[in-house]
Amino acid sequence: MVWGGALMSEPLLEQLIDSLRCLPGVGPKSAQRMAYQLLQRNREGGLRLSDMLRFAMERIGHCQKCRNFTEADICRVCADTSREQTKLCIVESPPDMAALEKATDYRGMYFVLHGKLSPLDGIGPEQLGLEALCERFDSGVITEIILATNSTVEGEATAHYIGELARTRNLSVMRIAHGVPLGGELEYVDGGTLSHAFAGRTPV
Amino acid sequence: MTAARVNLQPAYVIHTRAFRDTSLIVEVFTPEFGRMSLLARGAKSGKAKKSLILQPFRMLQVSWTGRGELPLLSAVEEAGSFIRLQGMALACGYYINELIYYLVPRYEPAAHLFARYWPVLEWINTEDQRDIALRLFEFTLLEQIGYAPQLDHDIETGLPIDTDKTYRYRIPEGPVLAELAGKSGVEIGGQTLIDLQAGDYANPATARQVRDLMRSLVHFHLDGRELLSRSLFSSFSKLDPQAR
Ligand SMILES: [Zn+2]
Repeated sequence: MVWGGALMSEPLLEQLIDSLRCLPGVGPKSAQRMAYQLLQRNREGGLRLSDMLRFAMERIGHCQKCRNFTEADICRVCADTSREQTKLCIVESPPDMAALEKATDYRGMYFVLHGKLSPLDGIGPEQLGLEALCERFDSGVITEIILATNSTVEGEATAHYIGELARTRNLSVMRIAHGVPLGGELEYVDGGTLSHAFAGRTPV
Repeated sequence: MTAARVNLQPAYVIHTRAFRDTSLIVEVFTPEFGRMSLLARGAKSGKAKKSLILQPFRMLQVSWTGRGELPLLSAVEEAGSFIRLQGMALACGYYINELIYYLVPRYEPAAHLFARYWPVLEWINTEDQRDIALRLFEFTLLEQIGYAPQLDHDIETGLPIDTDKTYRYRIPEGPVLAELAGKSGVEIGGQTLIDLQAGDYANPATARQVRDLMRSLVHFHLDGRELLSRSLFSSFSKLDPQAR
């Protein structure tokens, strides 16, 4: 049993352990290990962490242009004038944007949806709040849209909806390709991915 | 209640939601157990991510263990084709899944409706069969949950439906001769009621009446709940008028 009687009588320690559990993947046991580690060996690191958490939680908001996380009004990607201002890549979440920045040589702009269409979760077109996106579409700067939502049913629905919004404004619309993972063996790829990849075959 | 271990039950995923870091709670529709929830532990991690195939509109077979509220998904396999729905067809697919989610009871066999699910999905992918497919699904769903529409006699007089007369369908009870019904209910022709009884949805002249009747009946059983797939549907049709 993780919770000893002596431990339960120390309210502050107990609260610390409980608070650490808000981190992803942290159960009671690892939270207790973290708390002891900081108290026994690294109080300085613990204080730095608490300062940084407070600063970050208070100061990091959303970029006014792309809605990615930033402490400024406009994030660094949006403020970078050397990037191609005519291209706009649309992603579901900030980690998706980070992944694309890291893995691709894309040098255009982004827009982060912070969600996806999902009727059974109560998220329809209205709840997704796409006014800011439509403003960007209508700004006259963007000419090409790249839809980089996930390859789930909801991601496809979202891509379709935004694609139509863009098409009615005569913007060029692209969807990222989905297919067999690199290094993947066909035998082990699920049928849906395989049929999608086969339908989207390209000349070599 | 469900048995302690069930193997290879045919299933369609209706909805999934994230649970803890790597798990999913999956709402499935099955022939023997109706609608039920399963815990897919670690579905988003590991080499063979179960989350990749735990997607709606795929023919699956699921195995699970445990009885309580949330049995544990032990295996999932693809059991046939999958359908790629897009645009309006996808909005219709969501509508069908929303109906199952809100109206099909948990742990009650639903083999009749289950058998209709896949053919209906295939039809909604064909534009000119879409409306008929939806009506057929709504009708079968009402039958399955024990509220089959009453179509063969006037509920006031008890007389059989007359093909030449106009009726008003009192929701949810049944048809009443229009001249005796006042303004209440949904207008519907005698011939349409006869067609519906015979499962004939082919007459385009009466498609609108049938749609209004089904919509009112479904709305009644939803007990005030609004379906978001409807707003998805109307947004799609506003954006792309040709898709209708
Ligand atoms: Zn930005």
